[in-house]
Amino acid sequence: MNANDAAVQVPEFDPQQLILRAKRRRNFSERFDSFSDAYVWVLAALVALAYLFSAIFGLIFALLGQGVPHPHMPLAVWSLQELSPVLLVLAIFYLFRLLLHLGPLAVDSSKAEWWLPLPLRSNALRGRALRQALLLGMLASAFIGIIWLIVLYGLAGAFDPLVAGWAMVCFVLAGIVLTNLAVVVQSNGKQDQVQRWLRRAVLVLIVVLVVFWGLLKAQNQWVLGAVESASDAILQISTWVGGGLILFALCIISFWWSHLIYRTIGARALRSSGENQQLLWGSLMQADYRAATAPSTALIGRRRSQGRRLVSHLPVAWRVLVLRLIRGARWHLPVRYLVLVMALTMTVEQIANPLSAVVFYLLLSVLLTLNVSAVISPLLTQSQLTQHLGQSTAKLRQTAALFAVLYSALALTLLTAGLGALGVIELSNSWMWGAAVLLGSLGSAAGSLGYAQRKERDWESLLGGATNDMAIAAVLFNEVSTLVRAVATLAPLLSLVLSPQRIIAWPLWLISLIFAFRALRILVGEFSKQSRS
Amino acid sequence: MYLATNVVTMQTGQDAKYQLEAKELVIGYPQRTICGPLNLQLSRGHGVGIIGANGSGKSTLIRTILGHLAPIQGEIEFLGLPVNEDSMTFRQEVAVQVTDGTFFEELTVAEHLEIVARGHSLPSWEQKVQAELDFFELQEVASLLPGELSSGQRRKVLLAATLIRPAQLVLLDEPEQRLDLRIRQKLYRRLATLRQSGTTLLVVTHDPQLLRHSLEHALLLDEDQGEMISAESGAQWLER
Repeated sequence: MNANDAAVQVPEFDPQQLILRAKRRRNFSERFDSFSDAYVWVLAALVALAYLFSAIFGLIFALLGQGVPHPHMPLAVWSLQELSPVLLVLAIFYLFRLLLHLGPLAVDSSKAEWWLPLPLRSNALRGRALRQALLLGMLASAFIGIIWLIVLYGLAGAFDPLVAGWAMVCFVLAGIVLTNLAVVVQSNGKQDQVQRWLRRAVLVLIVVLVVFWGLLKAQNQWVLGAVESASDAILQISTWVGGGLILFALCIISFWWSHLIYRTIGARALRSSGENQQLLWGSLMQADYRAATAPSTALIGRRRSQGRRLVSHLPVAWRVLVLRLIRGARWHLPVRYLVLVMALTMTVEQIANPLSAVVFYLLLSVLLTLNVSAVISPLLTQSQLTQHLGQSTAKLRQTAALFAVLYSALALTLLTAGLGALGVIELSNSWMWGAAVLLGSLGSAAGSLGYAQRKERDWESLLGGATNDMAIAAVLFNEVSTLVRAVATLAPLLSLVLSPQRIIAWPLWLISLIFAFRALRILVGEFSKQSRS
Repeated sequence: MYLATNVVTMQTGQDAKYQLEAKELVIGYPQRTICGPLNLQLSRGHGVGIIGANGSGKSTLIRTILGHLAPIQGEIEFLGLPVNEDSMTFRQEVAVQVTDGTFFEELTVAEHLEIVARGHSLPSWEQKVQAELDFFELQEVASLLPGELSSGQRRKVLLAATLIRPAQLVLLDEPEQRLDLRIRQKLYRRLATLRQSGTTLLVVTHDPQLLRHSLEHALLLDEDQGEMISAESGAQWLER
């Protein structure tokens, strides 16, 4: 049909002019609102970055186990600084995957509905989409660069600001190169294939790491030298200047390539990428990760027959929960986390220390709260489902709570057993450990029950209604209260990790019980009703 | 899934060139076939309603014809060439209303119609916009923003945007939804006039009145197959 297009007369009308005209029509108050919205988001991003800086420093301090006696792992061959280049490669892989998922060229739903179907040359629309994609790539890469530099700064203790400046230039240029490559992939419609290759590339990277680990363990001189040189090179300005020049050349080539090809990206691809971007921005604005990480219908479809036999004898609400866990592959996240923790503890020097274990427990608690909440959410929030299942809301809530406790207890037990087997923590008093794990599980369950019922947030009214700093702090605290609840119940567990020989002070048990009370009350209510019936 | 081959042919045009032609078309999603194979040939000025139970593939068929979904098997041609929603010819000649719609939140109702009218280079577009506002009784809300409209008014804006522009083929997905009875009747009369003037209509509907007043045939999607029947038979099937 494109053959006919040459003969078609195309009008010169530019819808962008109409949209701009409407935007210019806004009065001062509306323009100020728009400006203040943007200002607030930029300010929030800067504040978040400052907190992130502190959090990363705390994390590194803990992982290095500063001043805390810890066992030597016979299999540990890496230092954290030697692993930082690996982190860089992983960041590039995942940034490229993100860009491919987001398009990167996209049009939002209103333009897809009203502009894209018009018989106009779409160069202006696509050109604008390309500029936005490049900006997105640059910003995302620069953000990763900042995080990575903070990590490096925390590990190396200090480095030249000139190195940091050149490194940032490299990250921005890398963002442009990756975006252009993603545009080329998108214009060929090969996103799925490239995503598969990238998944395999991560596996290859893991295999390479394992091989390097083996050679380091065998004291191979070449590998020892290579790892040391790579670790030193990232702190040298010449590395980044050279990298910057190479990336600049790649930037020009990739931009030329994507510019040749980006007009061929079809309307269907632009539209679906727009939907993906809208979903991601919505999740970020809502500070709710669930929508963006929900498994796709295609992924669930591939597992449509899994778990059928396993759930055949389970009560109906349990069937829903177990099938959501299996077919949505939601159990992958905690399992991958546990494997990563064990691998890091065994192979990286200094990580096998009680402070690291505290970090691992805290992260697992947050992860479990979010992970479990995604599984149990429909039972707690969809009243129609409650009616269809023929069970009371209370009964479903109790089932959800029991599921959350058992799931969290399993994950916490596996982490405790793993760290105990490696000698990072002392499992001398099994009753105490059992009680602490149980309370931690109840806390995770209480947190996930709260988070699962989290509704859409109207930040404008929430923050706009807060008239002073205390009120703003209260709003923000309320937002993280579910996570605080989960983390606070770990108090006895963390006390055991840090001082296994000492008796846990009763206030810690009390605090933990208070925060776990919600889940406990739901469960006890269930058991007492069952015993009466 | 077993799929019976079912040929649905409508060859009333004297010339061999069809405006829209689907050959051995199987529709659905990866790993889930919904309907087919179907053969469908529409000549200029024909009006066909697509009817069937929920989940029979009516909207999927429209989305496949538009290129929003790739066919599992078979081909679709518009004016003798494979359907390509990116082509200028397709965008000029095919008018579509298949979703509940999204809007530019900063553009008024009248400006939404303006964007379509000017995008299609309509001469005296101002009058045409006014005519559509009159027809769909949107004059009072012409300067309102989409967020200030009811769902029925938003539906009327989408229909006005579909009908303000010239087209050889009009595809509509349940246009009767959320419209009051009077507007529905006006719309059906207009669709009938449009068809008589040579525009081809392909409309997913659950309304027997739309079939009777505006269309000639109905494509009944039932049990993975398609069957072409008269509009009256289709209306009776919907009323059964």
